Amino acid sequence: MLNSQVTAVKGFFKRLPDLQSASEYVTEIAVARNVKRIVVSDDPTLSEFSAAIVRKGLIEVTSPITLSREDFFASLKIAEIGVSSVDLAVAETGTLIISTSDESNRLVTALPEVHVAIVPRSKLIPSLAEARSYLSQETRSNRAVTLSLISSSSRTSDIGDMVILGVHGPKELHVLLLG
Amino acid sequence: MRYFKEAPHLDRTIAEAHDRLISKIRAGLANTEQRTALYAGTESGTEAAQKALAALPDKRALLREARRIKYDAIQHLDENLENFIQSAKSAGVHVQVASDAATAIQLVLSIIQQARAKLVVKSKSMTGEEIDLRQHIEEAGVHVVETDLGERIIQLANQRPAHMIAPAIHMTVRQVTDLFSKHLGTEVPPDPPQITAIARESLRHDFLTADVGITGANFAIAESGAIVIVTNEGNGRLVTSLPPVTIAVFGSEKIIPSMTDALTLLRALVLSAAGKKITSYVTISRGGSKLAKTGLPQEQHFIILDNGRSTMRRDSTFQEALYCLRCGACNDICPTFRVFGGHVFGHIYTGPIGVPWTKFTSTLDAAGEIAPLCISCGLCQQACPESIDIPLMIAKVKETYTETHGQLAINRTLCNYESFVKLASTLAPVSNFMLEQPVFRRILQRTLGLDARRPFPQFTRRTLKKWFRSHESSGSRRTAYFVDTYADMCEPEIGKAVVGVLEANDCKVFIPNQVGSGMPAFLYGDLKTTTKAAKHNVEHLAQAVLEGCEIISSEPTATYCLKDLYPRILGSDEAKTVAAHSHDLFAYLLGLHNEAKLKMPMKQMEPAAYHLPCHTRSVYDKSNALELLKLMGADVRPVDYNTCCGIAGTFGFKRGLEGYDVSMAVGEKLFDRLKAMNVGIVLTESSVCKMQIEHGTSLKVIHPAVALWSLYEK
Repeated sequence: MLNSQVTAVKGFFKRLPDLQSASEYVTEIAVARNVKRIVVSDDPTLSEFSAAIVRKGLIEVTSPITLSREDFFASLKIAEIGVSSVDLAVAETGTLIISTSDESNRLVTALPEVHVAIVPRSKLIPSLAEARSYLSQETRSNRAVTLSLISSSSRTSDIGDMVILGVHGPKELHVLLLG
Repeated sequence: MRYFKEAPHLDRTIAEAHDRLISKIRAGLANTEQRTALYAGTESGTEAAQKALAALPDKRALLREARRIKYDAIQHLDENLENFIQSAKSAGVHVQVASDAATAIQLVLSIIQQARAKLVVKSKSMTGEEIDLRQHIEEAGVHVVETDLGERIIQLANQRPAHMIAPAIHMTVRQVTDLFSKHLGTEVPPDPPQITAIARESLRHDFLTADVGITGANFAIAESGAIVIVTNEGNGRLVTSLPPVTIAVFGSEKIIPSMTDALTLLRALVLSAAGKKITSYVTISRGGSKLAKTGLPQEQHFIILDNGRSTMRRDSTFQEALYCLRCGACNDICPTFRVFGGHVFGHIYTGPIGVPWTKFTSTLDAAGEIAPLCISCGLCQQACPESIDIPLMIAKVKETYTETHGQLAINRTLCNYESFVKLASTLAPVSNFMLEQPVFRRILQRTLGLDARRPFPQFTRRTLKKWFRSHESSGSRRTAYFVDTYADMCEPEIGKAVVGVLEANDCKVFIPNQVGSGMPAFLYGDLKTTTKAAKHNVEHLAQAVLEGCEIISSEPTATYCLKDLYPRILGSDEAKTVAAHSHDLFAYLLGLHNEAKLKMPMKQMEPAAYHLPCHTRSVYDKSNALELLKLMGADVRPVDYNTCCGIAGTFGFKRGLEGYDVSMAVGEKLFDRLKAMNVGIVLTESSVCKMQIEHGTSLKVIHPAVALWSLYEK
């Protein structure tokens, strides 16, 4: 279901066994697009993923953990691929739910032309209804929070009623389901 | 002589408003490029929504729940507002309430000044449009960039949005290309993907350097103080994540109790707006997150706008306009909106729902000026996910406006249309002969304002009611026939077919005391006349129900009045009882069929096209006639068309730009598509749709009851 929902809106979907294979997938699309720089959101579960790409030595990989705030922001502005984890993924609507309290992490999914989301199977839920209590709790915690529900790449039909991808945000959305 | 004079109290306001509207209608009709763009955009919007909703197993439950949520939210607005403010403040958000537009502007300007902002980026917001937010900030000397692509186009063209959710729906690719070329001072290719890429490039710089970001909100959640922003382009995400200061300006009606409510309304909104399960992005935000550049918390402001909403809330008729989710479905389906768009049919808020919103957030006069573009087809309420009674609100706007400024003579005449039909029937066949004389038609056009090009129906003095007086009816089921004026005085064959089919199915028919439905008066805001007719009919039909009758009607407008409009206008239990026992003939027959009690005719009919009248669509959301005829094996194909045929009762009889020209422009697509179907006959239940289609296509149009009755062995 997640697969068909993602591809129905011209997203890319891939089932992969582990983070290692996810790093290979991302390296592959990066090389194919001649990408110089990848930004990865600040998530400890992704450090293995980042390390695997860095080892290849082809592409610069930065994350809020590895760089000073100012340097990371500079790198965000020019990175071609952003990689993030997700908090939940909704099969019925193909929606990725990502909770952030630091805009650096949200911008990883908003500024680059390609957004790759890494979804461990454990994060998959059948429908938005199952996300209700999570969303409600997140917004009632005592910290500032932004919940991003992402269901497609950035799109418009404002000119001539024609659907165009990649207006302000990513032109491509890749969903990698692990396990 | 009273019909030949303008009303004595007709004042300058309405006379000037009428002239302004007519000149806008003239320009709109002549703008074929815009009309093509508008029609394509709105029709595909309606199609997408209808298709998605029809495929939904829990459609009724979803829409019922969506309405319940807004109803409760508006009932408990004060409490929800208080909770929302408290929750948002506890998350560090600066929250302020603005009683009117000027206050909201002042609040925004002072935040901008405090931030020493030079550049403001905005995402699309109708609330922002309502208070002319962009214009006021620009006047204060601060640069503002709209970032939604459609809204950016509108900003560059120095216009207002032509549609609630698709601001540039009226513009062609060529026009957009010219705009960007002029703005950027370089030749832009006439290719949407390339224009989008160029816009991305130039707006990206604005996002990264903006000092303040301004948005609206689709929902504001009381339990948490979070706001929800629904977008597809992703501009809303950049407007809220990059600038050090953000401001959300939204109306108090956006406040709802919980996240659960927000998710339900989100579903209803996106389905009705685009026929989708969800948009590309939904951003839920509470409190200022750490800024990417500095790590400092972002400064977040909420400005909650009243600006007439409290007054709206206190008005029992208009209160439910506050349920509006701004999906734009009423814009898309509205037959006249499809021709003219929001620059003609709109003040700031566009289309049908724009009329009540204009009355409360702008002025009655502004609302009254555009209200004549509503031809009371009722489709807006049917398309509305909240089922807002927009038709009644617009009729009330027309009523108050004409009570204040006077009524046009032609409209006053047409409110009494029934007395004309009676006169023509009494004088038939002389009246028929007269009404076909070009000279007489020109006189009628000049004096009364009835367009000479519009053929009148044939009138007869051998009315259905006269025939019925000597007719013996028998059967074990009791039915009362609510006869419409047309079936009575123009085409009694329809009435005889209805009686015939009912009797063939063991129904005893009687015709209770009744008057015309009052719908013609409703169209021009004469609610007193409509209410009088409603009371009379409900009183007598309720008696028939008490005596064990089910009420049958064969004219969609009659069914619409009995089942839908009368209970809304009268609000009485009696009206509700009559509504529950009233049926369109074919709905009643389908009921018999479901109980295996319908006698199936033996003969087959020739292939036919079918047009669904608006008032049938409004009541049943489908065609019972089509369903039944198909069950009988008939080859009946519905025409691919999802709005009104354009005649709208008496509207299409009015002279030139006041009615006829608009009605024919509305019907154009229907005519073309029916002609392309290559069938000999067209079926439709509505007498006026019949007149319109015959006039527009020269095809033969018959009532499905007549078609059905011809299949029975007599």
